[in-house]
Amino acid sequence: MNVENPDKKIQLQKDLFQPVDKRASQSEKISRPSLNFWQDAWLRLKGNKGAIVGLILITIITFMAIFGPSMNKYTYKQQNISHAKLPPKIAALENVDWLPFDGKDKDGFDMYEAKNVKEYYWFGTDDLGRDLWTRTWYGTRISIYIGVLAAVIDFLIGIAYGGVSGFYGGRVDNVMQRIIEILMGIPHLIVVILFILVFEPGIFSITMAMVITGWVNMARIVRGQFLKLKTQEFVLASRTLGASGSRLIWKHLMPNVMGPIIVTTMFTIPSAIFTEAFLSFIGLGIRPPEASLGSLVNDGFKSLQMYPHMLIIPSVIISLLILSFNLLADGLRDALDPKMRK
Amino acid sequence: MKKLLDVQNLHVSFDTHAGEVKAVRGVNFHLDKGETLAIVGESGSGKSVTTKALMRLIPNPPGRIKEGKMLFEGRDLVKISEKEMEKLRGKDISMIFQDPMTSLNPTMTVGKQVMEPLIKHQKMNKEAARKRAVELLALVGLPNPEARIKQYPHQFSGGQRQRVVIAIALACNPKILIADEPTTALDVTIQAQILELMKELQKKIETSIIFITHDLGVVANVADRVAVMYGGQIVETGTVDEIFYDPRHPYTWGLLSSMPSLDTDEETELQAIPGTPPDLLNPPKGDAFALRSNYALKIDLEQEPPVYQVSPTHFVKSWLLHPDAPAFEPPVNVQQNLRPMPNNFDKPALFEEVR
Amino acid sequence: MAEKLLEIKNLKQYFNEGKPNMVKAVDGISFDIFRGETLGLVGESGCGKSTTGRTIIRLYDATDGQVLFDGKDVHGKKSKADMKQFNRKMQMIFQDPYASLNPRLKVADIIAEGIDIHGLAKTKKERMDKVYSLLETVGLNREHANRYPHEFSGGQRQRLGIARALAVEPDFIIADEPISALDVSIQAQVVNLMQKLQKEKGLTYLFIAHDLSMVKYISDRIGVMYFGKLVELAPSDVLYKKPLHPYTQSLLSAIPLPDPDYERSRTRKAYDPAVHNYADGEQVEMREVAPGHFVYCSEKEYKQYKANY
Ligand SMILES: Nc1ncnc2c1ncn2[C@@H]1O[C@H](COP(=O)(O)OP(=O)(O)OP(=O)(O)O)[C@@H](O)[C@H]1O
Ligand SMILES: Nc1ncnc2c1ncn2[C@@H]1O[C@H](COP(=O)(O)OP(=O)(O)OP(=O)(O)O)[C@@H](O)[C@H]1O
Ligand SMILES: [Mg+2]
Ligand SMILES: [Mg+2]
Repeated sequence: MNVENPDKKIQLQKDLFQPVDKRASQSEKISRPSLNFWQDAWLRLKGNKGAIVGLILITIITFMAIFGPSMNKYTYKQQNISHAKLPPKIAALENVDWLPFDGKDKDGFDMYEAKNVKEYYWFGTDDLGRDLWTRTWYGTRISIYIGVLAAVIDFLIGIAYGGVSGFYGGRVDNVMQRIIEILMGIPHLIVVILFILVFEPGIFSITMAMVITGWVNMARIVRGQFLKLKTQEFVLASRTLGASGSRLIWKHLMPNVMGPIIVTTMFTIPSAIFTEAFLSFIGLGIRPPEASLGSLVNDGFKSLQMYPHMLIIPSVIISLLILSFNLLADGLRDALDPKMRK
Repeated sequence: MKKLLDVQNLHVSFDTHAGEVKAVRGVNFHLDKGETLAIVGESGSGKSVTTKALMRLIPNPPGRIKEGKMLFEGRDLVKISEKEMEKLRGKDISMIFQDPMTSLNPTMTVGKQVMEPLIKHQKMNKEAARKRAVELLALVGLPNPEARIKQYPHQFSGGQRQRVVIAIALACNPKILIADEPTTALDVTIQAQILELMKELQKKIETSIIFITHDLGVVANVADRVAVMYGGQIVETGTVDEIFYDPRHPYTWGLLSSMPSLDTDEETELQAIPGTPPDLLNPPKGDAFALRSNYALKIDLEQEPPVYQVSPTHFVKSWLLHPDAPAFEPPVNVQQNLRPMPNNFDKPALFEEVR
Repeated sequence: MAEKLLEIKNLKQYFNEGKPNMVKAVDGISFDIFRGETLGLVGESGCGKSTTGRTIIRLYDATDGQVLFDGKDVHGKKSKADMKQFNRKMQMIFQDPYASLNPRLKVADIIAEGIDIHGLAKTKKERMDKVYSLLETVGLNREHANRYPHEFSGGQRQRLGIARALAVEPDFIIADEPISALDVSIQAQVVNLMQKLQKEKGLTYLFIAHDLSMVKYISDRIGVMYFGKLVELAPSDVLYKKPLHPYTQSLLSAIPLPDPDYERSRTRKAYDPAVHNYADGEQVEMREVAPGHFVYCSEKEYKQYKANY
């Protein structure tokens, strides 16, 4: 150990050794910028590449679903048998060799020339000569409608049901939980098939089937969160101040379950979209001439060998749609998870 | 005495989206064989990070050991490979965490969890490990261990679980036992039992203990030496007596005088340390404690203080020990306990950190 | 100061009554709290301290017993208006500074909650002025009003909790381990603040804790609880100098104090409920051994305590 004379080692001016005023008030200062929960979550979400890609894809697909069908002159049910089964052809891209938008089929045979078609069908046509561009985006609309519907049902029924069950607890909760268990016991598919038997296949049956069972998961999550939050000290504090039930729910409980609610919704949407596509694919869903991505895939599936574009295009879109919702949901879960917060 | 562990100039940082959190900023301490070193300091001062660094358990990313050496029996733990570290962990160095609820696996019987390190490190066969596990559980004072090794953690009370955790930590007779607030979650009566147990076991198997806590009563009870941490640095170290009866750093004064003793009457106001701990994202220039200190000097705001040595074992990082600094009286409740220490030098001496 | 503010008579709180997992969290305790004093309540984890506090303030409905506040029964059937009135007089400070503030509300809204519920401010400006002055009362500044709880340290949060309770100008505050979760260095901030407020506003406290040196410092009288029962109640220095009940003795002997010499000589006494050796049917109850010093004991023990006092 080196022990040295301090005076030699450190030459400092004496006036530096004057006491200074206490600056307690300054030490209470918070220097970091103020961020609320949502701003903070947004910062984290922004840093998540997957989620941002998902968000952008969803925006693009939604935009196309809304405006795509009106971008050309065809409607989704307008048939033109002489133009049937044309491959995709897009004006600007037709001369780019490696892109499949040159109007040639898989053997390199130009169908447009053969059938003497002047128009361009951007995604080609199906076996009745309906424009696939319009039908694809039209089908996407259905998928998004189903997704939004699932979210709305989650919000309207799931949150209310779970909230009431969790907030009141006790006997009310007991009864409501038994009802949920019964609903959970019935497989989803059976409910759908029942509705299709009673009514007829179509958007209405699918909607109704989802209304009946779609919200159960959300209700359970909200109930669990409510039960947990109800005993938290900030809720107790509010109760000792004399807060009313509605104040407790809207000021204290709801804002704190918003995170899990959003995450759950984001996971419900893709699974609802998938369910609808699946039902349409097996023929229980949308009826022609209406189109949904599932039924388009089903149609395309029949001529997979000859005209792969009829299968590939809707499959790609549905995959992208589901993938991007899942990416976003994953990102949101990380961004909103309170465990990650300090 | 030979140093069992020697930590030199340890820096640990976390890269967060807000910037680099400098959690540990140049920590030096050592641990002798068979002694108990208590690390005290307020929440966020870097106690856990320091000990996690010793176990190389800092999650990376975001954390990393930026600089420094951790010499364990002459080997630098910063440099050795993860494989070698695995061999040390649980065998030569083991750790007890704060929460006995989460440090046991709820799906495994208690016996299996005690046997695990024995089989892994001591290469015991199952039968031998089982026997040793029963011995260990008896050693930590668990009644009827033969039957209890077949039970699951939830069938134990908090205090019993902490005993099991201690049994696991001691399974391979570690040379160093790190206890991160092992009794904070427990009741005073159970805490007393656990502390007695740890002291008794320490005598039996000659381990060195690093004991983290912020309860000064516990420190007075278990420690041979004490290191006081503030804002990611050690500001004062010394023997227990030196820290309690001859403290020199204003933060240590603050700690000691903010707690009433049993004979503090209601009229004497407690000396609260005002303000809040420093934000380690932008640690303050100079002395990190200056902003909250009643004894701040101008220089504290400009230049980091060097370490002064008061006795062979007592080190203080504060400008107050500079010969030019004015003489300050420590707070009243500290003064009451002051007494001369036999080993003190005539005058504090500047101590070079390069050892 | 002998005016009784609160009388607790044979209070009981059983959870899961009638089921196999019934817990007698509070099992028939009686005590008074005088206006302007601080009554400390100590005991080990799970002995029913929080439950006592929460039952008094009606977060739980008592299984049995009475709580008289200013001579009026708090637990009988009451109108909404009466309840509101009562909510203003009695307030609570909670243990966990991280769980006791709603993370989604701004500090101003948290503190002003009582003001909003009871309509104590006529205009927005009046409301904010009250918030600012409350912030200053607890040693924070007005810039803090627009921030969120997670930006504060534990001690600051605890002071926010105090400001929230003060907003309705209560007479009586139940502090459920207000400093247990705080650093030693921060605890004094909160304790000093509570004492200052007591002096200025004449508050009465029920101070629940398990750190005994702090309880002794802040309390005028201390009650010791053991498994839902009050076993000893005495002025604080008397309790420390002359603990009578063996459990109190054991508890006191287990607390480590920040004094190495004391620690080297301290020996711990274990408590074994069997020492009492109560006969069947023996009347065990709170008895006044010396003026103001109550012990839960049998007739025989009472005589013994009295003889040795
Ligand atoms: N994974 C992490 N990411 C970012 N910062 C971290 C991480 N872990 C610890 N820190 C920071 O390191 C600093 C020191 O933390 P540490 O856990 O060592 O404190 P401590 O002294 O053990 O406190 P306590 O008494 O609360 O346990 C804190 O400011 C903390 O915010
Ligand atoms: N809502 C509840 N339902 C069932 N049992 C409960 C409930 N609340 C508390 N208890 C039980 O009542 C007993 C007393 O609990 P209480 O929280 O009052 O203890 P405490 O003295 O405050 O302990 P601590 O020091 O840990 O806070 C415990 O055994 C607890 O498990
Ligand atoms: Mg820690
Ligand atoms: Mg409690």
